[in-house]
Amino acid sequence: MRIRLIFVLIFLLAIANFSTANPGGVGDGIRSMECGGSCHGDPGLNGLSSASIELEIEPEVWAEMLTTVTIYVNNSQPSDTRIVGTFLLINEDGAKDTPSHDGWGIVAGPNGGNGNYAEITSPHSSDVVEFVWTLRAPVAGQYNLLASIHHGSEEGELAYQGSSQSISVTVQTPPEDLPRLADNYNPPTVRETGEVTTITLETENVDTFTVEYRVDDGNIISAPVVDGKFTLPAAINVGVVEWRAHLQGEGPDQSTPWFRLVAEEPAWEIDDTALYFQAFALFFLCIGLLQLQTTRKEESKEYDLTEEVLAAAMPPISSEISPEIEVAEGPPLPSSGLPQGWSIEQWNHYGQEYLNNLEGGGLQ
Amino acid sequence: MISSTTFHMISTDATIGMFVLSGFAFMLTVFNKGPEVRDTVAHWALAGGLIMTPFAIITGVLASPGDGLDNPLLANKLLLSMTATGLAIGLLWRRYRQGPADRLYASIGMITSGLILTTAGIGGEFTRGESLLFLIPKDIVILFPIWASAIILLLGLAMIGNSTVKHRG
Repeated sequence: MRIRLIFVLIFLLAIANFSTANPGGVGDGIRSMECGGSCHGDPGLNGLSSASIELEIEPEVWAEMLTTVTIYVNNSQPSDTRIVGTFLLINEDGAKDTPSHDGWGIVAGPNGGNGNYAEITSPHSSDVVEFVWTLRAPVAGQYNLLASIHHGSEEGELAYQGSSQSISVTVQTPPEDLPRLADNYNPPTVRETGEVTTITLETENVDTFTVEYRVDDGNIISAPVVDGKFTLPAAINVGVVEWRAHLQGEGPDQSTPWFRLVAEEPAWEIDDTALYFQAFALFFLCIGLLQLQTTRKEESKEYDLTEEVLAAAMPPISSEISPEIEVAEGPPLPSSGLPQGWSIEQWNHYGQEYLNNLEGGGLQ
Repeated sequence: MISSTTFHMISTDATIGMFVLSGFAFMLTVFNKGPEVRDTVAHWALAGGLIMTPFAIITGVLASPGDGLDNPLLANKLLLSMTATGLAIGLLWRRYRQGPADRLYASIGMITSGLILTTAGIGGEFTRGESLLFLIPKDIVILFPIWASAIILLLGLAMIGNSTVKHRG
Protein backbone atom coordinates (compact mmCIF):
# COMPACT_ATOMS: atom_id res chain seq x y z
CA MET A 1 0.00 0.00 0.00
CA ARG A 2 2.76 2.42 1.01
CA ILE A 3 4.83 1.59 -2.06
CA ARG A 4 1.84 2.20 -4.30
CA LEU A 5 1.23 5.54 -2.61
CA ILE A 6 4.85 6.54 -3.15
CA PHE A 7 4.61 5.58 -6.82
CA VAL A 8 1.48 7.70 -7.21
CA LEU A 9 3.22 10.69 -5.62
CA ILE A 10 6.29 10.27 -7.82
CA PHE A 11 4.04 10.02 -10.88
CA LEU A 12 2.19 13.21 -9.95
CA LEU A 13 5.46 15.07 -9.42
CA ALA A 14 6.83 13.79 -12.71
CA ILE A 15 3.89 15.00 -14.78
CA ALA A 16 3.80 18.44 -13.14
CA ASN A 17 4.98 21.22 -15.39
CA PHE A 18 7.37 23.33 -13.36
CA SER A 19 7.43 26.84 -14.66
CA THR A 20 8.86 30.05 -13.32
CA ALA A 21 6.35 32.05 -15.32
CA ASN A 22 2.79 33.01 -14.53
CA PRO A 23 1.13 31.82 -17.73
CA GLY A 24 -2.19 33.35 -16.70
CA GLY A 25 -0.62 36.73 -16.00
CA VAL A 26 -1.00 38.68 -12.78
CA GLY A 27 -3.31 41.47 -13.91
CA ASP A 28 -2.78 45.19 -14.40
CA GLY A 29 -1.57 47.27 -11.50
CA ILE A 30 1.08 49.51 -10.01
CA ARG A 31 4.23 47.44 -9.91
CA SER A 32 7.90 48.02 -9.46
CA MET A 33 10.30 46.31 -11.84
CA GLU A 34 11.42 44.22 -8.88
CA CYS A 35 8.02 42.63 -8.98
CA GLY A 36 8.72 41.81 -12.57
CA GLY A 37 11.38 39.49 -11.26
CA SER A 38 9.66 38.23 -8.15
CA CYS A 39 6.43 37.56 -10.00
CA HIS A 40 8.33 35.04 -12.07
CA GLY A 41 10.45 33.53 -9.33
CA ASP A 42 14.13 34.35 -9.12
CA PRO A 43 14.93 37.32 -11.41
CA GLY A 44 18.27 35.69 -12.13
CA LEU A 45 16.49 32.76 -13.75
CA ASN A 46 14.64 34.88 -16.30
CA GLY A 47 15.62 34.57 -19.91
CA LEU A 48 16.38 37.51 -22.18
CA SER A 49 13.48 38.32 -24.45
CA SER A 50 14.12 38.48 -28.17
CA ALA A 51 11.43 41.16 -28.59
CA SER A 52 12.20 44.62 -29.86
CA ILE A 53 10.74 47.29 -27.59
CA GLU A 54 10.29 50.89 -28.66
CA LEU A 55 9.00 53.70 -26.51
CA GLU A 56 7.51 56.73 -28.24
CA ILE A 57 6.71 60.06 -26.61
CA GLU A 58 6.97 63.71 -27.60
CA PRO A 59 10.48 64.82 -26.66
CA GLU A 60 9.11 68.05 -25.22
CA VAL A 61 5.86 68.21 -23.27
CA TRP A 62 4.15 70.86 -21.18
CA ALA A 63 4.33 70.65 -17.43
CA GLU A 64 1.21 69.32 -15.66
CA MET A 65 -0.54 68.73 -18.96
CA LEU A 66 -1.63 65.49 -20.56
CA THR A 67 0.51 63.53 -22.97
CA THR A 68 0.68 59.97 -24.24
CA VAL A 69 3.39 57.33 -24.28
CA THR A 70 3.21 54.48 -26.77
CA ILE A 71 5.24 51.29 -26.38
CA TYR A 72 5.56 48.93 -29.32
CA VAL A 73 6.54 45.33 -28.56
CA ASN A 74 7.47 43.26 -31.62
CA ASN A 75 8.30 39.59 -31.96
CA SER A 76 7.96 38.70 -28.31
CA GLN A 77 7.14 35.00 -28.97
CA PRO A 78 5.09 34.64 -25.81
CA SER A 79 3.54 31.53 -24.27
CA ASP A 80 0.38 29.79 -25.46
CA THR A 81 -1.74 32.31 -23.60
CA ARG A 82 0.05 35.01 -25.64
CA ILE A 83 0.02 37.42 -22.72
CA VAL A 84 2.65 40.14 -22.75
CA GLY A 85 3.11 42.30 -19.67
CA THR A 86 4.71 45.73 -19.92
CA PHE A 87 6.02 48.05 -17.22
CA LEU A 88 6.31 51.80 -17.77
CA LEU A 89 9.29 52.82 -15.63
CA ILE A 90 11.64 55.70 -14.90
CA ASN A 91 14.77 53.64 -14.23
CA GLU A 92 16.03 50.07 -13.97
CA ASP A 93 16.89 50.17 -10.28
CA GLY A 94 14.17 47.70 -9.36
CA ALA A 95 12.76 49.96 -6.66
CA LYS A 96 11.20 53.42 -6.63
CA ASP A 97 10.99 53.12 -10.38
CA THR A 98 7.35 53.81 -11.21
CA PRO A 99 6.50 57.05 -13.06
CA SER A 100 4.76 58.42 -9.98
CA HIS A 101 8.14 58.54 -8.22
CA ASP A 102 9.11 61.32 -10.67
CA GLY A 103 5.75 63.07 -10.40
CA TRP A 104 4.13 61.63 -13.51
CA GLY A 105 0.43 60.98 -13.11
CA ILE A 106 -1.08 57.99 -14.90
CA VAL A 107 -4.47 59.07 -16.22
CA ALA A 108 -5.16 55.92 -18.23
CA GLY A 109 -3.30 52.71 -18.93
CA PRO A 110 -3.59 50.52 -22.02
CA ASN A 111 -6.61 48.71 -20.61
CA GLY A 112 -8.16 51.74 -18.98
CA GLY A 113 -6.70 51.39 -15.49
CA ASN A 114 -4.24 53.72 -13.81
CA GLY A 115 -1.32 51.38 -13.13
CA ASN A 116 2.12 51.40 -14.66
CA TYR A 117 1.90 47.67 -15.47
CA ALA A 118 -0.50 46.29 -18.07
CA GLU A 119 -1.05 42.98 -19.80
CA ILE A 120 -2.29 42.60 -23.35
CA THR A 121 -2.88 39.42 -25.30
CA SER A 122 -0.71 39.41 -28.36
CA PRO A 123 -2.59 38.66 -31.60
CA HIS A 124 -1.64 35.43 -33.38
CA SER A 125 -1.52 37.16 -36.73
CA SER A 126 1.08 39.87 -36.24
CA ASP A 127 2.88 39.37 -32.91
CA VAL A 128 2.92 43.15 -32.47
CA VAL A 129 1.53 44.56 -29.25
CA GLU A 130 0.94 48.25 -28.64
CA PHE A 131 0.67 49.73 -25.15
CA VAL A 132 -0.54 53.32 -24.77
CA TRP A 133 -0.47 55.28 -21.53
CA THR A 134 -1.96 58.73 -20.99
CA LEU A 135 0.16 60.66 -18.51
CA ARG A 136 -0.03 63.99 -16.76
CA ALA A 137 3.45 65.50 -16.92
CA PRO A 138 5.29 66.51 -13.75
CA VAL A 139 6.75 69.97 -13.07
CA ALA A 140 9.32 71.34 -15.49
CA GLY A 141 12.56 69.42 -15.72
CA GLN A 142 14.39 66.61 -17.46
CA TYR A 143 13.04 63.10 -17.05
CA ASN A 144 13.65 59.60 -18.32
CA LEU A 145 11.13 56.95 -19.26
CA LEU A 146 11.63 53.36 -20.33
CA ALA A 147 9.63 50.20 -20.84
CA SER A 148 10.25 46.69 -19.64
CA ILE A 149 8.36 43.59 -20.72
CA HIS A 150 7.74 40.14 -19.32
CA HIS A 151 6.27 37.15 -21.05
CA GLY A 152 6.40 33.39 -21.09
CA SER A 153 7.56 31.13 -23.86
CA GLU A 154 6.07 28.31 -25.86
CA GLU A 155 8.26 25.84 -24.02
CA GLY A 156 6.87 27.22 -20.77
CA GLU A 157 9.88 26.62 -18.57
CA LEU A 158 11.14 30.17 -18.31
CA ALA A 159 9.90 33.72 -18.07
CA TYR A 160 11.54 36.22 -20.40
CA GLN A 161 12.40 39.80 -19.73
CA GLY A 162 13.41 42.71 -21.92
CA SER A 163 13.79 46.47 -21.67
CA SER A 164 13.69 49.39 -24.06
CA GLN A 165 16.19 52.19 -24.37
CA SER A 166 15.67 54.95 -21.86
CA ILE A 167 14.05 58.00 -23.49
CA SER A 168 14.75 61.51 -22.26
CA VAL A 169 11.77 63.85 -21.99
CA THR A 170 11.95 67.58 -21.46
CA VAL A 171 9.07 69.00 -19.49
CA GLN A 172 8.64 72.74 -20.00
CA THR A 173 6.60 75.35 -18.24
CA PRO A 174 3.69 76.27 -20.55
CA PRO A 175 3.01 79.89 -21.57
CA GLU A 176 0.38 81.66 -19.52
CA ASP A 177 -2.11 81.93 -22.38
CA LEU A 178 -1.60 78.46 -23.81
CA PRO A 179 -4.91 76.86 -24.79
CA ARG A 180 -5.16 73.76 -22.66
CA LEU A 181 -7.41 71.28 -20.94
CA ALA A 182 -8.33 72.22 -17.40
CA ASP A 183 -5.82 71.08 -14.80
CA ASN A 184 -8.33 68.88 -13.06
CA TYR A 185 -9.79 67.40 -16.22
CA ASN A 186 -9.53 63.63 -16.54
CA PRO A 187 -10.92 62.11 -19.73
CA PRO A 188 -13.12 59.01 -19.41
CA THR A 189 -11.14 55.83 -20.01
CA VAL A 190 -13.64 52.97 -19.89
CA ARG A 191 -17.19 52.44 -21.09
CA GLU A 192 -19.48 49.52 -21.85
CA THR A 193 -20.23 48.22 -25.31
CA GLY A 194 -23.44 49.56 -26.81
CA GLU A 195 -23.15 52.77 -24.83
CA VAL A 196 -23.02 56.19 -26.51
CA THR A 197 -20.53 58.44 -24.75
CA THR A 198 -21.02 62.18 -24.40
CA ILE A 199 -17.94 64.04 -23.22
CA THR A 200 -17.84 67.56 -21.86
CA LEU A 201 -14.44 69.10 -22.41
CA GLU A 202 -13.16 71.39 -19.66
CA THR A 203 -10.63 73.87 -21.00
CA GLU A 204 -8.64 76.99 -20.14
CA ASN A 205 -7.65 79.83 -22.48
CA VAL A 206 -9.69 78.22 -25.27
CA ASP A 207 -12.04 80.09 -27.57
CA THR A 208 -13.06 77.20 -29.82
CA PHE A 209 -12.12 73.60 -30.27
CA THR A 210 -12.75 70.74 -32.66
CA VAL A 211 -12.72 67.04 -31.90
CA GLU A 212 -11.84 64.03 -34.01
CA TYR A 213 -11.76 60.33 -33.24
CA ARG A 214 -10.48 57.15 -34.80
CA VAL A 215 -11.05 53.45 -34.35
CA ASP A 216 -8.86 50.46 -35.02
CA ASP A 217 -8.69 50.95 -38.78
CA GLY A 218 -7.15 54.38 -38.30
CA ASN A 219 -9.70 56.48 -40.24
CA ILE A 220 -10.06 59.85 -38.56
CA ILE A 221 -13.61 61.14 -38.18
CA SER A 222 -14.70 64.58 -36.97
CA ALA A 223 -17.13 64.77 -34.07
CA PRO A 224 -19.46 67.79 -33.96
CA VAL A 225 -19.07 69.93 -30.85
CA VAL A 226 -22.21 71.46 -29.34
CA ASP A 227 -22.05 73.64 -26.21
CA GLY A 228 -18.62 72.30 -25.36
CA LYS A 229 -19.81 68.68 -25.64
CA PHE A 230 -19.26 66.02 -28.23
CA THR A 231 -20.52 62.47 -28.63
CA LEU A 232 -18.67 59.30 -29.49
CA PRO A 233 -20.76 56.56 -31.08
CA ALA A 234 -21.43 53.33 -29.24
CA ALA A 235 -18.97 50.47 -29.65
CA ILE A 236 -20.49 47.30 -31.03
CA ASN A 237 -17.63 45.10 -29.85
CA VAL A 238 -14.92 45.23 -27.24
CA GLY A 239 -12.21 47.59 -28.45
CA VAL A 240 -10.73 51.05 -28.30
CA VAL A 241 -11.74 54.37 -29.76
CA GLU A 242 -9.25 57.23 -29.59
CA TRP A 243 -10.11 60.91 -29.68
CA ARG A 244 -8.31 64.21 -29.47
CA ALA A 245 -9.16 67.89 -29.50
CA HIS A 246 -7.62 70.81 -31.37
CA LEU A 247 -7.71 73.86 -29.12
CA GLN A 248 -7.69 77.44 -30.41
CA GLY A 249 -7.26 80.56 -28.28
CA GLU A 250 -5.07 83.62 -27.85
CA GLY A 251 -1.92 81.54 -27.47
CA PRO A 252 -0.52 79.10 -29.99
CA ASP A 253 -2.94 76.38 -31.17
CA GLN A 254 -2.61 73.10 -29.36
CA SER A 255 -3.63 69.52 -30.03
CA THR A 256 -4.26 67.18 -27.15
CA PRO A 257 -2.78 63.68 -27.25
CA TRP A 258 -4.93 60.81 -28.47
CA PHE A 259 -7.07 59.75 -25.54
CA ARG A 260 -8.12 56.11 -25.44
CA LEU A 261 -11.63 55.06 -24.52
CA VAL A 262 -11.79 51.32 -23.93
CA ALA A 263 -15.09 49.57 -24.55
CA GLU A 264 -15.69 46.54 -22.34
CA GLU A 265 -18.45 43.99 -22.03
CA PRO A 266 -21.07 45.08 -19.51
CA ALA A 267 -19.99 44.12 -16.02
CA TRP A 268 -21.32 40.88 -14.64
CA GLU A 269 -24.11 41.56 -12.20
CA ILE A 270 -25.98 39.52 -9.66
CA ASP A 271 -28.62 40.21 -7.06
CA ASP A 272 -26.35 40.66 -4.03
CA THR A 273 -29.22 40.30 -1.55
CA ALA A 274 -30.34 36.97 -3.01
CA LEU A 275 -26.76 35.71 -3.12
CA TYR A 276 -25.93 36.59 0.50
CA PHE A 277 -29.30 35.27 1.65
CA GLN A 278 -28.68 31.98 -0.13
CA ALA A 279 -25.18 31.73 1.32
CA PHE A 280 -26.47 32.12 4.88
CA ALA A 281 -29.36 29.74 4.18
CA LEU A 282 -26.92 27.06 3.01
CA PHE A 283 -24.74 27.75 6.05
CA PHE A 284 -27.55 27.11 8.53
CA LEU A 285 -28.97 24.22 6.50
CA CYS A 286 -25.63 22.38 6.62
CA ILE A 287 -25.33 22.84 10.38
CA GLY A 288 -28.93 21.73 10.85
CA LEU A 289 -28.63 18.67 8.60
CA LEU A 290 -25.76 17.27 10.62
CA GLN A 291 -27.64 17.80 13.88
CA LEU A 292 -30.71 16.17 12.39
CA GLN A 293 -28.68 13.09 11.63
CA THR A 294 -27.44 13.07 15.22
CA THR A 295 -30.96 13.31 16.57
CA ARG A 296 -32.16 10.42 14.46
CA LYS A 297 -29.39 8.21 15.69
CA GLU A 298 -30.17 9.02 19.29
CA GLU A 299 -33.86 8.54 18.68
CA SER A 300 -33.16 5.06 17.41
CA LYS A 301 -31.42 4.36 20.70
CA GLU A 302 -34.38 5.80 22.55
CA TYR A 303 -36.73 3.24 20.94
CA ASP A 304 -34.34 0.34 21.24
CA LEU A 305 -36.26 -1.95 23.68
CA THR A 306 -34.00 -5.00 23.43
CA GLU A 307 -32.95 -4.86 27.05
CA GLU A 308 -36.51 -4.54 28.31
CA VAL A 309 -37.74 -7.51 26.23
CA LEU A 310 -34.90 -9.70 27.38
CA ALA A 311 -35.51 -8.73 30.97
CA ALA A 312 -39.18 -9.70 30.73
CA ALA A 313 -38.49 -13.02 29.03
CA MET A 314 -35.82 -14.33 31.42
CA PRO A 315 -36.16 -14.74 35.21
CA PRO A 316 -33.93 -12.54 37.27
CA ILE A 317 -30.65 -14.13 38.15
CA SER A 318 -29.62 -13.34 41.65
CA SER A 319 -25.97 -13.15 42.27
CA GLU A 320 -26.47 -13.49 46.03
CA ILE A 321 -26.61 -17.11 47.14
CA SER A 322 -27.95 -17.65 50.59
CA PRO A 323 -25.60 -20.02 52.40
CA GLU A 324 -28.42 -21.00 54.82
CA ILE A 325 -30.51 -22.51 51.98
CA GLU A 326 -27.58 -24.40 50.61
CA VAL A 327 -26.45 -25.68 54.00
CA ALA A 328 -29.89 -26.50 55.32
CA GLU A 329 -29.11 -30.20 54.97
CA GLY A 330 -26.02 -30.02 57.16
CA PRO A 331 -25.24 -28.46 60.52
CA PRO A 332 -25.02 -24.68 60.92
CA LEU A 333 -21.74 -23.18 59.76
CA PRO A 334 -19.35 -21.97 62.44
CA SER A 335 -18.63 -18.27 62.69
CA SER A 336 -15.33 -18.81 60.87
CA GLY A 337 -17.22 -20.18 57.84
CA LEU A 338 -16.42 -23.32 55.87
CA PRO A 339 -13.22 -25.10 56.84
CA GLN A 340 -10.45 -24.36 54.45
CA GLY A 341 -10.62 -26.48 51.29
CA TRP A 342 -14.16 -27.76 51.97
CA SER A 343 -17.09 -27.58 49.59
CA ILE A 344 -20.67 -27.13 50.72
CA GLU A 345 -21.49 -30.74 49.76
CA GLN A 346 -18.63 -31.95 51.95
CA TRP A 347 -19.96 -29.84 54.77
CA ASN A 348 -23.45 -31.36 54.40
CA HIS A 349 -22.05 -34.80 54.74
CA TYR A 350 -19.17 -34.37 57.11
CA GLY A 351 -19.90 -31.12 58.88
CA GLN A 352 -21.36 -32.63 62.04
CA GLU A 353 -18.39 -34.94 62.36
CA TYR A 354 -16.07 -31.97 61.95
CA LEU A 355 -17.89 -30.03 64.66
CA ASN A 356 -17.78 -33.02 67.01
CA ASN A 357 -14.03 -33.41 66.47
CA LEU A 358 -13.50 -29.72 66.87
CA GLU A 359 -15.53 -29.72 70.11
CA GLY A 360 -13.70 -32.77 71.51
CA GLY A 361 -10.33 -31.43 70.48
CA GLY A 362 -11.21 -28.17 72.04
CA LEU A 363 -11.96 -29.82 75.34
CA GLN A 364 -8.95 -31.90 75.18
CA MET B 1 4.63 47.93 4.63
CA ILE B 2 3.07 44.58 3.95
CA SER B 3 0.24 44.50 1.46
CA SER B 4 -3.09 42.80 2.06
CA THR B 5 -2.16 40.36 -0.71
CA THR B 6 0.69 39.00 1.42
CA PHE B 7 -1.56 38.70 4.46
CA HIS B 8 -4.09 36.92 2.28
CA MET B 9 -1.43 34.44 1.15
CA ILE B 10 -0.43 33.73 4.76
CA SER B 11 -3.96 33.27 6.07
CA THR B 12 -4.98 31.23 3.03
CA ASP B 13 -2.00 28.92 3.34
CA ALA B 14 -2.77 28.34 7.01
CA THR B 15 -6.45 27.73 6.32
CA ILE B 16 -5.93 25.39 3.41
CA GLY B 17 -3.19 23.49 5.22
CA MET B 18 -5.42 22.76 8.16
CA PHE B 19 -8.37 21.77 6.02
CA VAL B 20 -6.17 19.44 3.97
CA LEU B 21 -4.88 17.81 7.16
CA SER B 22 -8.44 17.45 8.38
CA GLY B 23 -9.58 15.95 5.09
CA PHE B 24 -6.71 13.46 5.11
CA ALA B 25 -7.50 12.37 8.68
CA PHE B 26 -11.18 11.99 7.77
CA MET B 27 -10.14 9.89 4.79
CA LEU B 28 -8.19 7.57 7.09
CA THR B 29 -11.33 7.29 9.21
CA VAL B 30 -13.44 6.38 6.20
CA PHE B 31 -11.03 3.61 5.23
CA ASN B 32 -10.45 2.63 8.87
CA LYS B 33 -6.69 3.01 8.50
CA GLY B 34 -4.06 4.71 10.58
CA PRO B 35 -3.87 5.44 14.31
CA GLU B 36 -6.87 6.09 16.52
CA VAL B 37 -5.77 9.68 16.96
CA ARG B 38 -6.97 10.36 13.39
CA ASP B 39 -10.39 11.40 14.68
CA THR B 40 -8.91 13.92 17.08
CA VAL B 41 -6.57 15.27 14.41
CA ALA B 42 -9.41 15.56 11.90
CA HIS B 43 -11.63 17.58 14.20
CA TRP B 44 -8.93 19.81 15.70
CA ALA B 45 -7.54 20.59 12.26
CA LEU B 46 -11.08 21.34 11.13
CA ALA B 47 -11.49 23.71 14.06
CA GLY B 48 -8.17 25.40 13.25
CA GLY B 49 -9.15 25.87 9.63
CA LEU B 50 -12.49 27.25 10.72
CA ILE B 51 -10.83 29.82 12.98
CA MET B 52 -8.50 30.95 10.18
CA THR B 53 -11.25 31.16 7.55
CA PRO B 54 -12.55 34.64 8.51
CA PHE B 55 -9.01 36.05 8.27
CA ALA B 56 -8.63 34.55 4.80
CA ILE B 57 -11.98 35.99 3.71
CA ILE B 58 -11.31 39.49 5.08
CA THR B 59 -7.81 39.76 3.63
CA GLY B 60 -9.11 38.31 0.37
CA VAL B 61 -11.77 41.00 0.11
CA LEU B 62 -9.16 43.69 0.81
CA ALA B 63 -6.73 42.25 -1.73
CA SER B 64 -9.32 41.70 -4.42
CA PRO B 65 -9.39 44.18 -7.28
CA GLY B 66 -12.73 45.71 -8.21
CA ASP B 67 -15.75 46.46 -6.14
CA GLY B 68 -18.05 43.86 -4.70
CA LEU B 69 -19.19 40.66 -6.31
CA ASP B 70 -18.59 41.59 -9.93
CA ASN B 71 -17.45 38.16 -11.07
CA PRO B 72 -19.20 34.75 -11.07
CA LEU B 73 -16.07 33.20 -9.60
CA LEU B 74 -16.41 35.39 -6.51
CA ALA B 75 -20.09 34.51 -6.15
CA ASN B 76 -19.29 30.80 -6.30
CA LYS B 77 -16.50 31.29 -3.77
CA LEU B 78 -18.97 32.87 -1.37
CA LEU B 79 -21.53 30.07 -1.75
CA LEU B 80 -18.97 27.28 -1.46
CA SER B 81 -17.14 28.75 1.52
CA MET B 82 -20.37 29.37 3.44
CA THR B 83 -21.54 25.82 2.72
CA ALA B 84 -18.21 24.39 3.83
CA THR B 85 -18.20 26.54 6.96
CA GLY B 86 -21.68 25.32 7.84
CA LEU B 87 -20.63 21.71 7.38
CA ALA B 88 -17.50 22.23 9.47
CA ILE B 89 -19.42 23.80 12.36
CA GLY B 90 -22.01 21.05 12.13
CA LEU B 91 -19.33 18.36 12.28
CA LEU B 92 -17.62 19.93 15.27
CA TRP B 93 -20.89 20.36 17.09
CA ARG B 94 -21.82 16.76 16.41
CA ARG B 95 -18.40 15.61 17.58
CA TYR B 96 -18.80 17.57 20.84
CA ARG B 97 -22.14 15.93 21.52
CA GLN B 98 -21.75 12.44 20.23
CA GLY B 99 -18.09 11.51 20.13
CA PRO B 100 -15.86 10.15 17.37
CA ALA B 101 -16.99 10.25 13.77
CA ASP B 102 -18.27 7.18 12.00
CA ARG B 103 -17.83 6.62 8.28
CA LEU B 104 -20.77 8.79 7.30
CA TYR B 105 -19.52 11.82 9.18
CA ALA B 106 -15.95 11.21 8.10
CA SER B 107 -17.20 11.25 4.51
CA ILE B 108 -18.93 14.57 5.15
CA GLY B 109 -15.65 15.81 6.62
CA MET B 110 -13.89 14.88 3.39
CA ILE B 111 -16.55 16.70 1.40
CA THR B 112 -16.05 19.77 3.59
CA SER B 113 -12.33 19.73 2.94
CA GLY B 114 -12.99 19.29 -0.78
CA LEU B 115 -15.32 22.28 -0.85
CA ILE B 116 -12.67 24.46 0.79
CA LEU B 117 -10.05 23.29 -1.70
CA THR B 118 -12.43 24.06 -4.56
CA THR B 119 -12.95 27.53 -3.10
CA ALA B 120 -9.20 28.06 -3.02
CA GLY B 121 -8.91 26.77 -6.57
CA ILE B 122 -11.47 29.30 -7.74
CA GLY B 123 -9.46 32.03 -6.00
CA GLY B 124 -6.40 30.98 -7.97
CA GLU B 125 -8.35 31.12 -11.19
CA PHE B 126 -9.69 34.56 -10.30
CA THR B 127 -6.30 36.11 -9.52
CA ARG B 128 -3.99 34.25 -11.90
CA GLY B 129 -6.27 32.66 -14.46
CA GLU B 130 -4.87 29.26 -13.52
CA SER B 131 -6.65 26.31 -11.97
CA LEU B 132 -6.33 22.56 -11.64
CA LEU B 133 -10.11 22.27 -11.54
CA PHE B 134 -10.57 22.08 -15.29
CA LEU B 135 -13.86 20.22 -15.36
CA ILE B 136 -15.84 22.19 -12.82
CA PRO B 137 -17.97 24.92 -14.39
CA LYS B 138 -17.01 27.85 -12.19
CA ASP B 139 -18.59 30.65 -14.17
CA ILE B 140 -22.14 29.44 -13.64
CA VAL B 141 -23.84 30.66 -10.48
CA ILE B 142 -26.84 28.71 -9.27
CA LEU B 143 -28.91 31.37 -7.57
CA PHE B 144 -32.16 30.44 -5.86
CA PRO B 145 -35.10 32.83 -5.65
CA ILE B 146 -35.23 34.58 -2.29
CA TRP B 147 -38.33 32.65 -1.22
CA ALA B 148 -36.50 29.37 -1.79
CA SER B 149 -33.54 30.60 0.23
CA ALA B 150 -35.95 31.65 2.96
CA ILE B 151 -37.43 28.16 3.09
CA ILE B 152 -33.95 26.65 3.25
CA LEU B 153 -32.97 29.06 6.01
CA LEU B 154 -36.09 28.23 8.02
CA LEU B 155 -35.47 24.50 7.56
CA GLY B 156 -31.92 24.88 8.80
CA LEU B 157 -32.93 26.96 11.80
CA ALA B 158 -35.73 24.51 12.61
CA MET B 159 -33.33 21.58 12.54
CA ILE B 160 -30.86 23.40 14.76
CA GLY B 161 -33.64 24.45 17.15
CA ASN B 162 -35.11 20.97 17.29
CA SER B 163 -31.73 19.45 18.02
CA THR B 164 -30.96 22.05 20.68
CA VAL B 165 -34.26 21.42 22.48
CA LYS B 166 -33.81 17.65 22.42
CA HIS B 167 -30.30 17.86 23.81
CA ARG B 168 -31.09 20.41 26.45
CA GLY B 169 -29.86 19.37 29.86
